[in-house]
Amino acid sequence: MPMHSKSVPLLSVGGLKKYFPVRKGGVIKAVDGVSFDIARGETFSLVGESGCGKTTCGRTILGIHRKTAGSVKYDGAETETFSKQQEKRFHKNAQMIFQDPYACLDPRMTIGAIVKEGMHEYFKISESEKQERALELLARVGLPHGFVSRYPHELSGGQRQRVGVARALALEPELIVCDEPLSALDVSIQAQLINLLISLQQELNLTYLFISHDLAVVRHISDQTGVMYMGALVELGDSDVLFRKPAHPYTQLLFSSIPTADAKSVRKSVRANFEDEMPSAVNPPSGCRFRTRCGNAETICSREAPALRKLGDRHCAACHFV
Amino acid sequence: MTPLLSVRNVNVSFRTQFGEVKAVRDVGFEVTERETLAIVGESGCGKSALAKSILNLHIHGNGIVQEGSEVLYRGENLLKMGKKELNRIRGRKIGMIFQDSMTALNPTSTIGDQIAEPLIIHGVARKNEVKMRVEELLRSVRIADPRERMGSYPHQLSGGMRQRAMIAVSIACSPELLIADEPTTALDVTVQAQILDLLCALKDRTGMAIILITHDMGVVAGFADSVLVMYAGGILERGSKDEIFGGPRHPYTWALLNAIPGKAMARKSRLYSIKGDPPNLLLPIDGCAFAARCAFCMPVCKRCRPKTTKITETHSVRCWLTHELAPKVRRGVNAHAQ
Repeated sequence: MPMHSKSVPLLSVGGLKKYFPVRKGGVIKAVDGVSFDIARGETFSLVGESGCGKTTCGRTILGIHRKTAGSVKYDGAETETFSKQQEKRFHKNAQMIFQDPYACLDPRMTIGAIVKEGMHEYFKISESEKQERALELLARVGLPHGFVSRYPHELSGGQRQRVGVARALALEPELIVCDEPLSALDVSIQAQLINLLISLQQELNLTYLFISHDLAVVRHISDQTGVMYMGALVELGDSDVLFRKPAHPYTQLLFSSIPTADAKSVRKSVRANFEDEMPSAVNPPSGCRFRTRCGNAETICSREAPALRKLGDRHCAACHFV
Repeated sequence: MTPLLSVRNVNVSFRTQFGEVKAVRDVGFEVTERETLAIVGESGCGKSALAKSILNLHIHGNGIVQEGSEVLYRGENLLKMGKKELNRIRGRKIGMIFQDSMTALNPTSTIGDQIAEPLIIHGVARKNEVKMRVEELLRSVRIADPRERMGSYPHQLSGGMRQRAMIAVSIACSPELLIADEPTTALDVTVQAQILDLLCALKDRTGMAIILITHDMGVVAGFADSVLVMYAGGILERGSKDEIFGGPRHPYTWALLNAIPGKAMARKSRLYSIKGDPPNLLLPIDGCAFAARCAFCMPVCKRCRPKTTKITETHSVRCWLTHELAPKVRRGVNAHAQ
């Protein structure tokens, strides 16, 4: 459900669906009716387990996948009806940082060429200006000047991910979709990159759609958080509220699974209420998709899929019993 | 009490086209019975190379365990054993779980057969009992319909189930020590919690000791009795869980703990981060391996490697800051670990 904000949200996703056909004539509903808004300058995080559709959601929003149904509005305008020119502007304004810093950089290009590549298309500036800008960007993400003529294989994972950030920044975007940008990195390097993303947001008023399964990180950086399960949002809200008082049973299961030292037995007993195995995505359960794992499931859960219901000012959950 | 496992002075290196990489440097520690020891460190710090050297698995790869290294299992040096003797220990007394269950399990054989294999080889179960034991084992790792699942091939199982199947293989002969090398790294949090719960339950029931290798401080906090912090192939700090989380002494341990965003922190506040990258293991390291990235680095740190200082009977640290002449520094801002 849309969050209320006075101005038009930068990104507004409504009823987004993305189905993938599979052999034997079925479909996988990777994203099945997801709606949320992101206000300018804010961070919205999508969390969930692998296969829940969070990455597909991010990619469909940017048009990397063609959506099956639903609407994606950027700055109030529907992206589907964009003219060629508008579409080009959208691709400049909405950038992406990828999960795998090893796979997302062309091994045959120098770091400078990688950072400059997008500029050729979008900025009518001279080669020397591009070079200057590339150097500026490298400095901005904390890489030494000399890296401009290096190749990706000479860099560590953390350095490569910085290059990925510099490449995204090169086009002066407003929105950056960060698809698990930290999962390939070690904790100490993760912290460096989190700090970088936070300071860039504050300086450039960037908007982030942050896709992650790391709940501690999400809690730290996001204003709003959406929890996905089998292609749908089960809970959505202000990060402070959501992490303090998770309402949906799945969110509770997810949060109780984070390993910590405190109150082990309490968390274990929370988890004991849930079934372990995820159902098949081709053949999802009727009604509420979480019911096969949920300890509180009753007959209504198999008949009716719960809709997102408002629980508070900026908090909603899709469960019959909240 | 004699320790179950005693690792002394272990050095492991790899020959590469660029030169010799010293992956493990002068590592020594002990594991007592029923203890869960976590080895933490970032990628490339040598934790897996160390784990492999315990079972002398490097002879199958290109790792070289240097002369003088000792891994004593109940007093016997595993590194000096012949293949036959070693195979009596591997899988029987010491089991191992690997990070990637897809590559560790044999894709051409059913999980039932793979669990039965150690039982038959070590003669733990009689022929007519094997099937029953396999079923029991599958049930003990909480795989539903064990009888049906026995006939499944690894690719037919989900990641979590495969990991359980691998645990079943490694505990088949009720080993005294289980080495778990990043057993949950490739798994989702909910599945990770299930696997860790399972290992806890198995440990309580069988009383085996566990060496858990991980990079996740959260996992350590939830699971271990004692902790070993590794960096660039060497041990920087060792202590009980409470000592490491409550009163860590090495700046690297501080950094590791502070780098995780905690509940108490303000949203979007700066995280403590370690500047720079780990040292190149191709080059010799003079002094402390962490010196170049340490916020408290002193001139001596770059020249001489610090000795191990005992803080308590269980807590020891390798840092010049523990020297009596060193300035007294306090651990950075906050002390959350959770």
